[in-house]
Amino acid sequence: MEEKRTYDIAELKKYKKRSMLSEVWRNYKKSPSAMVGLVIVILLIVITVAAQFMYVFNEDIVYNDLKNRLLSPSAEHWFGTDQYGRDVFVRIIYGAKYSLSVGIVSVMIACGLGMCLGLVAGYYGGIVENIILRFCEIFIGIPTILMGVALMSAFGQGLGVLMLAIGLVYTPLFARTTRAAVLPVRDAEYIEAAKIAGCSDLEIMFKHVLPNSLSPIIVQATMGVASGILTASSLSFLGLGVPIPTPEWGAMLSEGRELIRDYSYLTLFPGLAIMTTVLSFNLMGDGLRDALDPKLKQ
Amino acid sequence: MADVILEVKDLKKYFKTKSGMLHAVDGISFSIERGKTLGLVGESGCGKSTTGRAILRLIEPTAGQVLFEGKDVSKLSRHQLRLARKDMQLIFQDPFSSLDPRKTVAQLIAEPIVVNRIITDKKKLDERVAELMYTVGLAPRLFNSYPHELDGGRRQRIGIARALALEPKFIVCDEPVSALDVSIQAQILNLLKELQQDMGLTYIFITHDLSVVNHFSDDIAVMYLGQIVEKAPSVELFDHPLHPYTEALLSAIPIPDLSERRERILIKGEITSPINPPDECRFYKRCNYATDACRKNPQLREVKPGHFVACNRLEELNRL
Amino acid sequence: MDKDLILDLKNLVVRFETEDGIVHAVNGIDLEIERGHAIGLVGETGAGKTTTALSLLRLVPKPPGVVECSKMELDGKDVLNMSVRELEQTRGKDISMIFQDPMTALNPVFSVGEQIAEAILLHENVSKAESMKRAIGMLELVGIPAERAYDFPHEFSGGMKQRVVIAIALACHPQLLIADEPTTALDVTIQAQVLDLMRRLREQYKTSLIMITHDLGIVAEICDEVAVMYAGKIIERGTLQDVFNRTKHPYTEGLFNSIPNINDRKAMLTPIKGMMPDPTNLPEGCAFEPRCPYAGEDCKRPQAKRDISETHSVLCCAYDRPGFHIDRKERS
Repeated sequence: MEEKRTYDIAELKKYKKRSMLSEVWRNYKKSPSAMVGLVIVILLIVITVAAQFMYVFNEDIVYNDLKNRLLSPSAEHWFGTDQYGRDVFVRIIYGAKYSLSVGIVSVMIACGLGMCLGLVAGYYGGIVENIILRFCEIFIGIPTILMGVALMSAFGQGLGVLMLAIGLVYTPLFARTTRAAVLPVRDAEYIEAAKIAGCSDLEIMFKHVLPNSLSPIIVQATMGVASGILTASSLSFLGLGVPIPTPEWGAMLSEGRELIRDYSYLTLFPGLAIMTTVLSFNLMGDGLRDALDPKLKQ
Repeated sequence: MADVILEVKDLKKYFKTKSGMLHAVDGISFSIERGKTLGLVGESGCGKSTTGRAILRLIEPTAGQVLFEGKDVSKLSRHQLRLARKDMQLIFQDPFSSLDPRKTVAQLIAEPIVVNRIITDKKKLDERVAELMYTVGLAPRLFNSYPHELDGGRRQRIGIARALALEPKFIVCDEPVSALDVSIQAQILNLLKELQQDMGLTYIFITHDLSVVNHFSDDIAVMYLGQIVEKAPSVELFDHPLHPYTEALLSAIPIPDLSERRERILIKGEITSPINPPDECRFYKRCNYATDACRKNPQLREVKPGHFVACNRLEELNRL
Repeated sequence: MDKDLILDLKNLVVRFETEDGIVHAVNGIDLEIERGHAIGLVGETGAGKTTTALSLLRLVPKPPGVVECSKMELDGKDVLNMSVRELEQTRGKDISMIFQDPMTALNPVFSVGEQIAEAILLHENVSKAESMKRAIGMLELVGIPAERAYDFPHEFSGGMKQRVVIAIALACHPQLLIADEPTTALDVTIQAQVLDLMRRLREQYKTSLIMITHDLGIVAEICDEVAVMYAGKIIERGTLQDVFNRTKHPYTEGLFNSIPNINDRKAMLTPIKGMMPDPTNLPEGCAFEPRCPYAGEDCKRPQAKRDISETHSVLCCAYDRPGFHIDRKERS
């Protein structure tokens, strides 16, 4: 008779889990450009949040002050004022929330839908995969802006519709990325090991396949936020996004366009804002790609 | 009456390829008694892994029956199969690719128990995992480690613990030591042997290395191009190999011993294509004894008690 | 002093300076090989076999690799201080290597004949047509029919590819051939064919050979001498007879006891307990000490090489103890 062993589980738990996240962060920190991107993104978010408390929409953002219209940048108005006398700096930092939220929410929509489609396509393969892929290819073939225009004119204008439109436009991209990431994982031996352990398809997909194919999706998502912001701005610039006088950066560009010869700062600053944001998200995406690269692990 | 736990009858697995039907497993039959080990030996491409997976229905067999404790595994529904898999497990060849890199050792070992809802209490589960870790010789401090932090031998122990988690009766070991260093190989082989004695396990031991399997098996079946060419009790097979292929396979093993230099029997050429194989002896093109008599696919027949060979020229060559 | 050495290596140290610490891959190796001899470099994963071979070709990537050595002479030529140009001349001509994986060692976009011809063209002043003719000759020598010279690597099986790799390595009749686990990726019957081929070619060309392998069986088949490596050191060195029949080092003994031997089937396998030490954190004394059944206090000190006979040497301090001996044959 073997003696009954007792196991001190608390003792075992002491050997702490070194999480994958801390590993990724360690790699991420190594890239200076990625850190710059991250700092700017954090700064942007902090400033935007602060701006919501400092300024009131009706008083500070949308108002007419014709006495002070079209002032050049100065100590009082850092980025000058526009044709209605509104402070451009305040409008930009307040308006960052539109760009950021459109970028992030649309990517969340695209990512959620695309990931499910890609997962199903990649895991099951065969005819299901074929249908999903052909569908994606058709959608990717349509120019983004055209697609946006079509959706916006069908559903009407507004922030929510803008998010949904951009989200739908980017869904096929995420579906394809996910499927490509799923393929090598699907054939990995540990998937077979999960099957023999008794996991159902759903358990395998969400517990094993998805966590192991997440890296490229995260990168794509980060970069997707940048493209989302650009697309949103482009649509607003065309007058199809958020309606004027909302201080969305694309809309501000559009408003300043007529005065570009004499008051170039009206377009310069929103343009710079878009550029900086997009750039920092892209830098972050690049850094993440390197940090998540399994080849660097070991 | 022998207590047969697994019986395979005329198992076939064909794969459709662009250039024709690939006969990975082409009509093999055998049975294993409870508590015994069958060694399934052959070179790459002979269909030994496919056989193992078809038995567990990780791939669907094209034809044939797999009777596990009298029930035909190939006819089970999804739900029944899930239940049956508690009794039939698999140990993988490559301990590097067969463990999910994002799970800790404890999560990996707990998975079969969790998904089959055997233990739902968190504390009891941890205890069971710790017990399994002890059984396979994993130090408790590895509880929360990730597989990539461990060496091959320890990873293979995780694989074994996973296979044992459901207290199976039967385990297919698919080259469990071929990815490991020799000094670690012996550790794992001894562990598997101890476990078999303690738990009364039945093994199919798939390997390309005859010297590994002889330590382990009661019976050995040699496969070539999807068919069993010879099957005999382990000692009999090593002492009196009857099939020319078995003979060559045995003589090809380099022996770490200077005292006995043997005449080596080299066979010519390489394994022929398994796609649409002609109806002749599968070994015909490489066999040193081949004649026209071999243009007919030989049947596996019992030539001595327990010793089965598939060779047309056996009597002619006076090999008995 | 009258030995005709093809390779004279003194105190080779290779380490890799990585972020996670310094990996001590090779820790002071002396290796002398006489012309025409074949030596088996035996050891498990991480013993430093391949790194030793790569440093002979000066192919250790640096950074992170750092190679230090007090003497590295190949056929009397100092490899350590060669210019890049001289190195290129030496590699392939005087010293040549066969890699483990024939699948990745060949370039998929050139025919196998062209790849052999290229090796000849690089080192010898011959015309293209002449080099191709010799390439075809090499192919026939390794048992591949001439008409397959214009086939591409993917049209060959693993064993055939390894034959092509051997043909490339031998194309310029090198003085020293390094074979890094040349048959590990192959099936046993194919392995037997390839080993047979290597043995015949070596006799024909009188090439010196370093056979890197983990398989003592292969060593017994084709080598004259053995060097057993553990944690970056040669722990036992001698002729086949010395190492196989008069085993001295506990690790060598452990290796023999843990491999299944089909001639001796009743023997129980006796594994070596524990595992290889972490190469970033090697013990000061004997690296095998934590796993060694004979370990004592004296093993914690740095070890010195001890000559047992003219040909046989071992790195183990247990022989300082009176009456210590290992008798492998007795155990089985």
